[in-house]
Amino acid sequence: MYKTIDLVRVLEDLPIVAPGILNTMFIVILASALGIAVGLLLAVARVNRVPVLNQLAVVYGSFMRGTPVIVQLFIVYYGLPMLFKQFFNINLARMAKINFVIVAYGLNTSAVYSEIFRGALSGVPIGQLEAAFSVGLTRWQAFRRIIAPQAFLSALPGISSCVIGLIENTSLAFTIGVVDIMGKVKVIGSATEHYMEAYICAAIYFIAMSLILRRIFSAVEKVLQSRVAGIGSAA
Amino acid sequence: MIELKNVHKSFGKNKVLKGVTVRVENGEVIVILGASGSGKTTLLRCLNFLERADEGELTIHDFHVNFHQATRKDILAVRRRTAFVFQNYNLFLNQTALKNVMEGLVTARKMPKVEAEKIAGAALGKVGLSGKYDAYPHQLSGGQQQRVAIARAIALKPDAILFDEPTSALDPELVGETLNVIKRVVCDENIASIVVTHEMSFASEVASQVFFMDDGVIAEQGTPREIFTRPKEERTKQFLRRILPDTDYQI
Repeated sequence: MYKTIDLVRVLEDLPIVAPGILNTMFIVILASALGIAVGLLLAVARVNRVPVLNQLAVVYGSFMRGTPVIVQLFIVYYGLPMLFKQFFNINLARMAKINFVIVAYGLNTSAVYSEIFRGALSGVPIGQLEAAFSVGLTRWQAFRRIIAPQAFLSALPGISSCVIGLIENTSLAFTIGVVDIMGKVKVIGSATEHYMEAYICAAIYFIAMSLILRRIFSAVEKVLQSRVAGIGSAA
Repeated sequence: MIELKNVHKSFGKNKVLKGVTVRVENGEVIVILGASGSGKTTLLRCLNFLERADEGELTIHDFHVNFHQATRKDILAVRRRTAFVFQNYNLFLNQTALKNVMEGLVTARKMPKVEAEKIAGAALGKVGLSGKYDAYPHQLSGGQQQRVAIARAIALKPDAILFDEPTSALDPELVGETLNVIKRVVCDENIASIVVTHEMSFASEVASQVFFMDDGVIAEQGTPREIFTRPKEERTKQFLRRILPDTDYQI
């Protein structure tokens, strides 16, 4: 029989799905941290044309951005334990599934972050580095004090859209059995056979999360613009 | 005192410097003239290791280094004894005027912040920008930015300041004030200064010696009077004729 959407059921589902947000946020935060860290290393290797690392970064980037994230998720989930078993004789089979999701999304977004950071770093005028050298700063001091703050400011919009994109991408984590928002939805759906209400409920949470994050990021951007470059502040 | 000996530099097959020797005493201002492409800017950039010279020696007071053997430590030592004023200012865009001046003192020389702030404030006062401590570069005019850059240079109390066409990116009406500031600070401090410029009046007023560069060598050197009124070399005469078409000078 054809079922219409039951709005009351949507409201009933909301609190049941809610705990899934924790796992989703957990994945987003840790995967972003991993992605940003690896991405920064790759970007520095590429900007400074570090031999070998530079070429590896290019290949890595084209693989990560050229394959669907679900494929990468499966490769990490099934492949990583095999790899560890074979080469290090370490058994990962009992490790929590969410760790694999974090690694997969971390690596996946690192490729995007490396492009964002590469653009941001090479966008800082070369004169800034020369001026830093001329007042006696070392390369590392120049990076930390002058180049990185400027690059970070221009990377922020990219970071923001990458994090928000990741929220939506995490909806694939349920495919290996992680109970995030979509995992909860699956549970409700198979228990009640009312999938549509559960999906609507998920949509509400995803929209809410991305709206909130967008707000946070634009607030951070405003603060940094005035702190880092004095934009918007009085002379 | 700063001395460059026999500096050579090529970019690929293009020989830009073909054995340049320059010596500047403390309190002296050397002006380097020359057509574009003659190697003036490259000479300054080599001195500060922004470019690596292929050959030659550098002496700053008691510190001596060979260009092609210089280690990272030597390079840092040279940079901490010299200061550079760039054509397009290159103020740190993420820092206020005061922080720009303090950066080299605090980060490079590990000076306590309070002390650095005092020195930076005094330096900004010298260039007439006491009221602009908290202004970011984009809130300052070109002339003000270049004055902050000059303050950043003198605050370091370097043995030598290198000015690379400090006024050529400025609006014409701002050139005068900037040159005045340079004049004042280089005469005040007992520093050896090397100025690459196209401002002939500045050269004749301030320079202790004028070097004319052509095709990677010093073609002629002398006091401003000698160079501007009695140039010996044909290429100096030609250059001056191009630069000063309306001024009469005697040959």
